[in-house]
Amino acid sequence: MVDQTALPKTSGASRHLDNDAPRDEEGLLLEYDAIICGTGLTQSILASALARHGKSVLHCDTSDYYGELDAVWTLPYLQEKLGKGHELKGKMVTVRTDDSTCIPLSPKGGLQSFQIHSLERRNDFTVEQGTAVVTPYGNGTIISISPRGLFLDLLVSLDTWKLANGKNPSVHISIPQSAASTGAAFQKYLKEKLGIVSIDERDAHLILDERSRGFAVDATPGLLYASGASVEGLLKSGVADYLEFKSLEGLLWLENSDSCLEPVPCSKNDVFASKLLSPMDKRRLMKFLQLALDYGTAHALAEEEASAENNKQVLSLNERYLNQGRSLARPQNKAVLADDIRALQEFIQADMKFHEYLESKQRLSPKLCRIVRHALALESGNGDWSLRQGMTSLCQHMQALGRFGTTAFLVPMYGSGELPQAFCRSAAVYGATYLLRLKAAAIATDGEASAAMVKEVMCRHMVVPQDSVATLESKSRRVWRYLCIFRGKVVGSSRSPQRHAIIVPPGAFGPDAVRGVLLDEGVNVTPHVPCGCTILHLTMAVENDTGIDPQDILRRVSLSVLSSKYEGSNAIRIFQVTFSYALPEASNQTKNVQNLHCVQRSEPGLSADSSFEQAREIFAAICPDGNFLAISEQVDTVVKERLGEQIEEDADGLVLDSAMDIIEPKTRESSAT
Amino acid sequence: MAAHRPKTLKIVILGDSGVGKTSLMNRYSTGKFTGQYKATIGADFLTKQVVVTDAFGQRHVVMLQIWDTAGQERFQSLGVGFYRGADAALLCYDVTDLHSIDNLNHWRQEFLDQVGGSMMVPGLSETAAQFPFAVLGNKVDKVNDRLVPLARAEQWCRDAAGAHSMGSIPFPHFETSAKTAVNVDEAFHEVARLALQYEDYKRRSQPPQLFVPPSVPPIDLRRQTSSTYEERNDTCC
Repeated sequence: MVDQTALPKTSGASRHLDNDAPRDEEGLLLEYDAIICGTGLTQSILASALARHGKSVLHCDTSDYYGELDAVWTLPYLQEKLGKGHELKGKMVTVRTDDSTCIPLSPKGGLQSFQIHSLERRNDFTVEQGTAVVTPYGNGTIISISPRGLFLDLLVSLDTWKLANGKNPSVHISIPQSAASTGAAFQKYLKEKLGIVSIDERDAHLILDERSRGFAVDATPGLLYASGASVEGLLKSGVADYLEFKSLEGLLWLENSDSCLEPVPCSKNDVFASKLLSPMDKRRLMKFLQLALDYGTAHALAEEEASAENNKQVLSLNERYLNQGRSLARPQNKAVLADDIRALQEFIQADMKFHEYLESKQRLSPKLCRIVRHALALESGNGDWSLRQGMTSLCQHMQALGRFGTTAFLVPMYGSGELPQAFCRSAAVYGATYLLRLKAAAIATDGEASAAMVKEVMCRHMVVPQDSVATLESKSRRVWRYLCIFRGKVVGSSRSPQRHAIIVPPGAFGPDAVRGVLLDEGVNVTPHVPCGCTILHLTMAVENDTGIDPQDILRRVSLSVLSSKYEGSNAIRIFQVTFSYALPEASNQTKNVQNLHCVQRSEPGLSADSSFEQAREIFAAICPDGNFLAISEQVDTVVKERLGEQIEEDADGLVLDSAMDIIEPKTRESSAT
Repeated sequence: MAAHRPKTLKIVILGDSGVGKTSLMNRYSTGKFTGQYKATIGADFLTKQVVVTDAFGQRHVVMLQIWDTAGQERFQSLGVGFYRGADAALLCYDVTDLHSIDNLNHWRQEFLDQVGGSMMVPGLSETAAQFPFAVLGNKVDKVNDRLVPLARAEQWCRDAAGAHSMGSIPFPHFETSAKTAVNVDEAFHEVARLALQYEDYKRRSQPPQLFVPPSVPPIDLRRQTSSTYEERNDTCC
């Protein structure tokens, strides 16, 4: 390995920001502080943090878009390139550090285990009795189709016209029997010769063909907690400048295949209004949520005291309350007895399970217990959570409530795939080099160039996605994703925005929990069309080889979602796709290599906050004394110099310069070039 | 609410590395020129409030938000996020570099590929051609090194604009110098005017609706106050 202490510290830290660092003929540095492969969210956050700390970063990706499995695709891209299995062209780069192993990298990078299982577009639209249709004479409804001699007589009532007697006019259209003998030919004749198609088909064509570029399809949809690591990181790094959000409208609960979507009670108002709970349950839930909030406050206070020295900005208790679930933390809600908190802390020490605590100590009913575990604490992964885990997660949710909007979550405009791109831009602003369409071939740590490699780049730290180094075991967990596009809206009314999270607890449809997000054009992820368009994302992580059919489960969930649409909704499913990717586990091969950091795909949750945590960990490993996502002084000075702020201080010099320009423009010009 | 805050227009600046994109932006925003070439670092986007007079002589205060490529253009690695929500694009070339004007086709195509769909005005398929582009030939102060004649650039502007729709107006073209400030303000002002015009056009070509549901403005994380809190404030005043 490179002995880092032997290198002069100043030379490496920010030399790349000046132009005197050695570069090759393509403009790449000969050596980077860090090479990051893959532009997933974690890697992008890390790149931004490193670049802002003054490290030289080369960030590459095999695809021609940002984000890997956190990307945002257009619908045509999903259909054409991903659906057909794309072949990417790119050059190979060998990455070299000074040890003696060579680890080949998968040419597909983080997309190695990506697989599309089905991709279907609805085509079976038919025109029959009662179908709403578009005709050359206006929109109408088919009243009857009856044979009359050698012809079929089609009677259409035109809804867009109204006669003086209040009735709709109708038209008779004759179709020769010979031309319309079978069903398919009849439909074809109507469509091609008469210009009569069903409204459903017309809308599907409008959404999926004409406006299909208006889709922003997230590979992994993620929401953000309105307060916490992610929002802090966005603000600290200035990435919040690039992004806009809308708040989630609500969390919905799908108990089982026979029930409808019900709002999850998060705030005090919700709890009172909820139809999911009995009065007794409501009281117990309120009490428990109050306890959780107080526990969160106590916990945060204890943490703050522990790090009081480095924490300059101490919030008053009042300020803290302001940022916490406003609807819960009101003075009139009496503080829970300190005894309860102490008891809770003792149970945490005793390593109790979260569900055990809820059932036996808080005496919540089984149904309420499930709601708290899966919809409020958002329990994920396989295996039961410990009480500590459960309370931490629950507090995070409660504290984010009411900061922006009415729920705890934020939805990025144009899809969550914008997040990695925004962080990459921030990294680029501070000098990181970006290379898309580039395959990293191998990590050679022996310092010997192999002849097969096209190009070598040296680095001190290497960050790769786990997928590209791990040999995938068939036993490993896989994330199954299902997304479908609806014409129309599902929740609320025809005017309500569709921005909802859907929680399906384990055991409802299959052994695993399913998370869903329902989004529409309010966040620009679907095209703006008069008939409305909604996209449903469903995500589920399952063990391989357990004999269940994830595709079937996800389809049934989507049908249940669709069947709980509001009365009068015109929602129909017009497109669906299922794909999956692996959640590889850390392999021993890479653990032993120094300065090689693997990015682990995290268990899919509702929020993307775990990526921030992971990026922070890797950042701490690379820069132990660095301040995560903060701009270092060095970089700040260089940037200010660039933007000419130093010249401002030297006003006399500026006057002299401009005077020189007037006197001898020619000579100055030649010296400048 | 919208009346209090000036409308923000996002303008992206495109072109090969080293044609002077960052210098043009700096010249426009600070009135300064730093001289030697350094690959862009620290340049992000700048905002400037300007007054634009539209075709009817009406004056509008708008907030121009001009986005630099941040060096990501170097290896053709600009993501779709950069182009999102753009209201106009500045295509820059270097009058001393023939290659840079040839590449304008690439930049224009890339732009349309990335945002074409979401920019689309309902019912009009050739909006792509109407999307406001302005072409800037930078470094005209280097008279002796000049390789791109004015006529050639103007021909390109005609061809590019005419490729999609019949009888269209050629892209506005400016020969600028970030060093001597020639035409810089004029170019940015023109692009602001075009962006405003396009925005207005887009709004008016929406199908007429009797009732437009109130749209919730997006959340800006930098504003610390809760949006619900603010709404409450509004109603009581």
